[in-house]
Amino acid sequence: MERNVLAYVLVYLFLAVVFAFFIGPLLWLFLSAFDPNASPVFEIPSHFTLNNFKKLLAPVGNVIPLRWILNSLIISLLVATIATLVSVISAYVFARHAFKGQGAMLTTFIILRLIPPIVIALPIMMLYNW
Amino acid sequence: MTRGKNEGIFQAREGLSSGGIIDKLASFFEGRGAFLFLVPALVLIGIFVIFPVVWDVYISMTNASLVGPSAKHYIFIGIQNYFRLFQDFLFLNSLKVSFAFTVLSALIGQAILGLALALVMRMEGIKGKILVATVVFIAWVIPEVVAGYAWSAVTDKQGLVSAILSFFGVKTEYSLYFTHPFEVIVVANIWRGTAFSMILFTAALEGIPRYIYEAAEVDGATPWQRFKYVVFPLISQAILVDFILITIWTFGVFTLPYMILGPGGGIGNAGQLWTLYIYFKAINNFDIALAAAASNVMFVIVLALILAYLWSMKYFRRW
Repeated sequence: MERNVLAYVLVYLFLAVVFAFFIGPLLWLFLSAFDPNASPVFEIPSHFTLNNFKKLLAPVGNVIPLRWILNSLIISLLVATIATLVSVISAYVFARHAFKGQGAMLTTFIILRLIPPIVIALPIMMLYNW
Repeated sequence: MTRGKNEGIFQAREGLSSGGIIDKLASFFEGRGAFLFLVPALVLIGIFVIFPVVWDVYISMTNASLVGPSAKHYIFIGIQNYFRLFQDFLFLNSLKVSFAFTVLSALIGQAILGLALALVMRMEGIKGKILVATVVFIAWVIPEVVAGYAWSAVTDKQGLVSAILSFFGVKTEYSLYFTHPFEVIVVANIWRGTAFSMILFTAALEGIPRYIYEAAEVDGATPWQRFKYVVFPLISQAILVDFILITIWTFGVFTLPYMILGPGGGIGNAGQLWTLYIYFKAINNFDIALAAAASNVMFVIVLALILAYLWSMKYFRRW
């Protein structure tokens, strides 16, 4: 019984340390977003403000507000649409048809998926930089 | 003519076209239809992977640079860049840093912490375990740039980690990412990637029927024996999959260390991974050709890692 209690104490201690480790940076992000004078210092803001968010919504020069989110959104939607269409028809062939070199081709697709992007980032930047 | 089972369909089409062009097209597609479906994927891969890699091999054998006269008019110089690369102290250093980073951060940090968390998640009567799992999971799903930003803040000289250290009496005069760049990215990457191992191991543990575990308990096995002789053999395949995937991912990680340390990798390049090295050479030193050579060398090394992964999966399944 005493062993059991000790085990539970150790488990809770472990969970507490892990929780603190993982929540720390996230909590700083959250608190700083509402802090009128945010800094790397980890503290509860003297008073909560939404000014930081207002600044985000304000136009900078002649760039429309939230243009950066719009850019990401356009790219994500295009990528998701094209990737889904292309992979659905490819997956259909792999699932429903047998052809020569099927296994090798599927393996190649998986390998290409696992290549770190930085390896081909440089040539892509140089080649398609219009 | 490839008629036969689809005769009815072709006849119907013939009736519509009357010239028989569609008929010819249909019989053309019948044999090659399967391959045609792969064309869009192959075209995309060709444009964005195969051609860049081929171009990379070519450019690595020239004296191309990002700016200056040799940016436009570069000449073929053979494999000199590869000699230059393997004599570059920074490149050899970045390989060493990357291997140490992968072993410490992925294989030791993420895998062990993930396994420990998965085992706790399986225990009954532990309050708050879902909350902990949620926070671990959030660290994994937030964008990498955000994670890097948060970590550069908490490891600042006024940041959270310094505050905790000074509470225990350790004074930090400078920012931690400045004095301990390697340690900071190792810990930040453990923070970032543990969720994957936790989820994978949780799924593997869920697959173990509880009665096997209870039978061992009834037979008087200690918790350690239950883990060693019951749980571990049953999840060993999941452990292999986890090891290999996190090795490949951690080996190729770029954004998080870049956000915290920048392309130089901190003081004395102590945290300069090979991914940062390529960026550093190409963008900061304008040495496109050398960066391309490094890219190719790393392409081969990563390819070897992936093939080892696929091979060991096959071998393991037979075993």
